[in-house]
Amino acid sequence: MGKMERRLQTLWYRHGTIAKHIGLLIIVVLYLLLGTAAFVFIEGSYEEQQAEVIADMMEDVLNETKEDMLNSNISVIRTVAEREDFDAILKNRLESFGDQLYELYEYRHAKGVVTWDMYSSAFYCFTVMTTIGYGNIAPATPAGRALSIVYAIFGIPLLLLLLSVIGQNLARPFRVLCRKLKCGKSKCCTQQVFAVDDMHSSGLFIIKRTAIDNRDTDGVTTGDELFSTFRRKVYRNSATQTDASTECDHANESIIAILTIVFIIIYISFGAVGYAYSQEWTLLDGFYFVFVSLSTIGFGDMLPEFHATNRGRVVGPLTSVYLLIGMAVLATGFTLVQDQVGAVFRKIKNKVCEFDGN
Amino acid sequence: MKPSDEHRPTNLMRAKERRQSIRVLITDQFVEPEKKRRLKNTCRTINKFFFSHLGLLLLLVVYLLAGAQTFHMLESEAAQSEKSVLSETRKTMLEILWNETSSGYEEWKKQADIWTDKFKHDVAHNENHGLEATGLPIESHWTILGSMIVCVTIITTIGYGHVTPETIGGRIFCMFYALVGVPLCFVVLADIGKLLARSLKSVCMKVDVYLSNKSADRRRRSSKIRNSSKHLDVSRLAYYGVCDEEREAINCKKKKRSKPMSESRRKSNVNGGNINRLRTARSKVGMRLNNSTWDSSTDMLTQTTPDITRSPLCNNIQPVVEEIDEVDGGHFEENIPSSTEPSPASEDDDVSVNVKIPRELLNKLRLDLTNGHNETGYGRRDENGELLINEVILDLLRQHHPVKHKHKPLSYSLSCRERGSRKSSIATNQRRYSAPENRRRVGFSSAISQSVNDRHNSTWKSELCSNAYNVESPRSSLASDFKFEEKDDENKKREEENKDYEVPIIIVVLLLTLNNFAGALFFYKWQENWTFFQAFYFTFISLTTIGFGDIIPVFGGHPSVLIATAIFLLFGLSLVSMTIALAQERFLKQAQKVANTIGVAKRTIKRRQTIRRTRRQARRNTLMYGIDGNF
Repeated sequence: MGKMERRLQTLWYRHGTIAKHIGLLIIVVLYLLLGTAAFVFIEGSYEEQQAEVIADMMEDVLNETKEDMLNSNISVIRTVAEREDFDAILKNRLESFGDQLYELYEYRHAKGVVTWDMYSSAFYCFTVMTTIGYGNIAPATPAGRALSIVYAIFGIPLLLLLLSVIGQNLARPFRVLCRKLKCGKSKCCTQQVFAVDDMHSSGLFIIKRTAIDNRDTDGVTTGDELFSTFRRKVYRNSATQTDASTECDHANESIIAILTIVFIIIYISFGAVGYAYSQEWTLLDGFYFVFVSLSTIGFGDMLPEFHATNRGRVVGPLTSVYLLIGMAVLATGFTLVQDQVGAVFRKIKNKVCEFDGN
Repeated sequence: MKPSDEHRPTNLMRAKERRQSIRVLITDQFVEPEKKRRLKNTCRTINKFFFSHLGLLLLLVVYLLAGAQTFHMLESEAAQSEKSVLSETRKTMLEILWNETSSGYEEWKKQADIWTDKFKHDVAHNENHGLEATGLPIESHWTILGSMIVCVTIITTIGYGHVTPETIGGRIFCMFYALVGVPLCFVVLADIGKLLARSLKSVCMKVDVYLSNKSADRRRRSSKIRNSSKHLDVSRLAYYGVCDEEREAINCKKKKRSKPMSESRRKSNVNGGNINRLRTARSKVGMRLNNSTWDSSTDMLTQTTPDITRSPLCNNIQPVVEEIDEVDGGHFEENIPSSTEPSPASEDDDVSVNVKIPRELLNKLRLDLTNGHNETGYGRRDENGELLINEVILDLLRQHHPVKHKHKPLSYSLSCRERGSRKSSIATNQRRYSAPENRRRVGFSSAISQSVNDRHNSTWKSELCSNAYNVESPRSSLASDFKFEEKDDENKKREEENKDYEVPIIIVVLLLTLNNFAGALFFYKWQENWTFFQAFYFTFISLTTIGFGDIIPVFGGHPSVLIATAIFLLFGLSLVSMTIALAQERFLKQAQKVANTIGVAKRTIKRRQTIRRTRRQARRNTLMYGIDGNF
């Protein structure tokens, strides 16, 4: 191997991780844009048709009303009886108009009347990929639905990968912080390696853990990180041989769990307050929206305004980023808590029947 | 001359790498009162049920019911007060339209447009809230069953949104319900998924075996199997009945392991899957024997770890007196302190045989072993009057290890191995003990370990090196522990293949697609105005938990269908989780291959292997699970 190649390789090993992460991010963004374009094309044209249809309907109703009014020589109708007749006709017309509209809306189930422009489409793609699926905007055409299916099949794993990457990168300062906290007290953290990250897919129930080796310079993890996203096991290595090491592990785990929970609470509160303030919701509504979105339940009954103003255009991308990071952190927290809870349960399960104190 | 202590570290290093021993533990019998034992047993059965698959499912169902009830209480009154504003709008619209006629057409048109828009929005609002176009409620969504569906959508995170909590209390409850329910649902579904994955794997394997058996070389294959020497690696007998707590939180039944026992928290169980419940033992007397493979062709259990060139003497059987604080339910202690013992690390690969004797006997035995008395009457003395420790142990095994099988007697034998003469000694063993058909022999070659006393050393050397004991002993559970039967040999083989067997990905994908189609069919048949594609779309969106909610099946008062929907959703989701369980390893391997071809991960793999090796050598308190499960 020539010197140049060797140097390149070293560079790749050292910085390859960052490059890979950024590459993944770019791929996800491209995928999102691709989906946006496709949906704008498919659904936007349908929507235009629909809008025309509805406008025509409205025009018809109004024209007929106008005709009626003109024909009935409205300027001279002032008696109650004629007024009532007129009202009856109009009411019927409006009712039938309402029924037709209702059918159209039933098919579309748009919570509100949202148009398929670029922003909505991008947000829609985002909700599909994260499996949140608000439903405030949803494809109405069969082609759009088929495309959604295909888009989801490829997009969901892609996003899971991105989530794990985000989680890993977030976990680094975490670990540092935790180590500082813990190693201040005891000497047992010479070479702590924590299993921290999870890849969380709410819908597909992948809760995986990735390994992070804090000896980043070793090059052990450069290959690991991308491919360890599907690791399921805890990777722990304690440098000490004594029993204190296991205690250290446990203590470290609980510290990490507690820290993660605190961080999640702060994160959610921050988002809730932000949304409540900017969208003029109550605080509870803010919490509700953030929680429902982060857990990927995604009811869609409460949503921030995306189109209101020019400033409102920022809300979409901002929300997406916020939700992505939040999901990554939440997944970590879930798994850590699950670990602790699992351990407690196991202890209970083992000890509950040994009541003669052995 | 006492072997110097500096031998020990290096010896230990090498030993820790590869040594696997069989440890014979002799514990005292702890007689428990009958009543208490029965109570404990019932408690354990209940415990087992609740922590099993069924128990989890039950928990999930209970959780759903509780949630449904609470939502019903919180939300049903509020929902009924949901009013339609449509009639109001219509009335106002009519008024405006009428009144504005006086303002001229343009003005009228403007007002008409505004109000028609409002009308449009109100129709949409009605549709969203499940009110008819006329403004009457379709049905109250918050009946118990309706709430149940909402709960299902919450904990599976599908979240349709066609019905959402509107009250403050409802929303707060929803958040907390999801907080607990979502992880619970994950756990249950992952559990069921693993179960499904396992059964699918075994089914596929059976089909595979069946198909391959039909091929022309079946005969050749079976003959090959029969003739090849089946080396039952005793070290891997740890496979049986070992329970890896870290992997299976729920059920601690017999499981396979794909790695040495070093990581187990001592739930090792040698008796083929049942957790051996050792009673409280205040102390144990153990003997460390070194043993590794069972060579079925020669019926000899011989040593595999090659060389132990530690001592110029023969290997001795080292009696070990260990104080162990507590043993319960099949656990062994992690660190069994012993001054004479090589480090606990080498216990990692041990397989233990448990011999129970009365406590008084235990004490006497301890005296015998450490001081060379002969209180117990076991063993015999050599010409110098020294107690032959090995004989003591063997006698003990013979007497107190209960017979569990009706097979022919098992013979224990001891042999010795001299430095550099491993091959010869094994050959000696084989020659001497080539077993006739009706007999299985177990030969123990003892390990190097520091002897307690020098005098024993020299004595044993003379004894062991010149003779080999051929002791008849009833075939005991020792044999069953090590699964020497043919049948279990094949079982083990199957389990081993099982570990590496990969369900072909096409089958997994096919299963998922079939699941989707089944759901589509179900909804298509049930919903009148749905096309098949709509049903398929709905199933897909639900199973990936996206859950738009734009298409919702109308339940129309058929509670059974509602329940069927819920069950279908849960089952479909567990299928998805099964796919994950099956696919992740494959994906990882594929990714690894890709990385190799790219040339990125080569170095890291190598590096990882080096690190693995050094770590293993260091034998620290490691818990390592590799990508491919091999370590």
